[in-house]
Amino acid sequence: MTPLRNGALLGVLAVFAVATWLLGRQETPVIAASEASAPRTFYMRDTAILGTDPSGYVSYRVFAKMVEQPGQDQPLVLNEVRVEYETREKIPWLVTAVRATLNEDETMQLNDARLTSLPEPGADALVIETDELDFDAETYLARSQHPVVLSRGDARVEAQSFRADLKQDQITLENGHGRLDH
Amino acid sequence: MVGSTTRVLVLLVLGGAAGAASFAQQSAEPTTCSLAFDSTVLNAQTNRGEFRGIRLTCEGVAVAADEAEASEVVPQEGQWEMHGNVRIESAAALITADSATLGFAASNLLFGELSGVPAVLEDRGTNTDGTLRARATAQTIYYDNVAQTARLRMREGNSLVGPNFEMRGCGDISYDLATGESESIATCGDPLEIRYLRPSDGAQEPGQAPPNDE
Repeated sequence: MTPLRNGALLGVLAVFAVATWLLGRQETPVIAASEASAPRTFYMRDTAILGTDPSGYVSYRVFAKMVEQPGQDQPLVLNEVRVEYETREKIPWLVTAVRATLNEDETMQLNDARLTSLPEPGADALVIETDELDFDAETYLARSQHPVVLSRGDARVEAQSFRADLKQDQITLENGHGRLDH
Repeated sequence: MVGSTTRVLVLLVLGGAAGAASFAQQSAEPTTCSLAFDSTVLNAQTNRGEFRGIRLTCEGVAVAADEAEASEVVPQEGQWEMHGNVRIESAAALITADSATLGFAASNLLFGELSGVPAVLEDRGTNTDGTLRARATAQTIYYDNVAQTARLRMREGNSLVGPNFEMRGCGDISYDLATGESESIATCGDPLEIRYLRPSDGAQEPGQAPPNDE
């Protein structure tokens, strides 16, 4: 073997070793959001997808128990999803869902979704639940044309649709009714 | 009669005890208030909400308004500010106004302080034919949902019209919605004027607005 071929082989072996080591790790792998839409099929457990702001700083993290791409050019499918913003973003909300699809433009469709406010100590959290939710973590906007249930403490309100601006802490509900839920 | 206070007790003829019994029957099963709305915008941190097309259904009372503001998601212990076409309606009475402050405790309506040009109270009592036992106009009406009374602040041009009398002037009137009794105090110096109407006078129906009303 020539030194050049030996070097190439070592390089291949090194890449293989690193890949094997990465696959063997139980820690959370991290992929950049921009890579998430790469046209390949894969399957990952305990994953964090990072969303960055225009300056390149991490703005939010999408944690998922499982991420898979069913086929090329298919959106990513995430299970047991949790979206958390970086502290400096000052978004006092936690977004969770049983399942989500992540589109190329990084918007998400969440199923069995829940938005939970992170209030000041001693205050009741505001919780919004719906079967289907469109969520754009980059613009902090969530909306649903499906029935939603909003609750805070014993108070419970049901509405036919809603939208939320998590940056402004503003929730808009349409055609709703509610009462104390004893 | 400047500086003097005139106290007048007027007992309306129709519906007294029967009205009280009827209300007591309605109150047998206490429930909490529920709400419905066309839309609402809530601030999650301040808990301040702005509602449009709001309707509240409380124990024996329905409330509606074009807009409302509150620091609660549903009526519980706070005060709700209502604006535009405010209506508080029970089986026997309807109060309409331009704006109101409603107070709640344990998710039940305690009171409503209504203002309008004018605020209007229409009391049907136990009349089943849709006619009114009394109709009053006032600058403000304080509706006590527990005591079932309405305190009216009348100003020039306001009136309280019953089936056989008409009261005009500037004063405070405490009106018992259960019995139809009212107690009045003149507050602007001049006495309240009460005119008893005979059928032959072509007495004004309570349901008609007095000609000089605001």
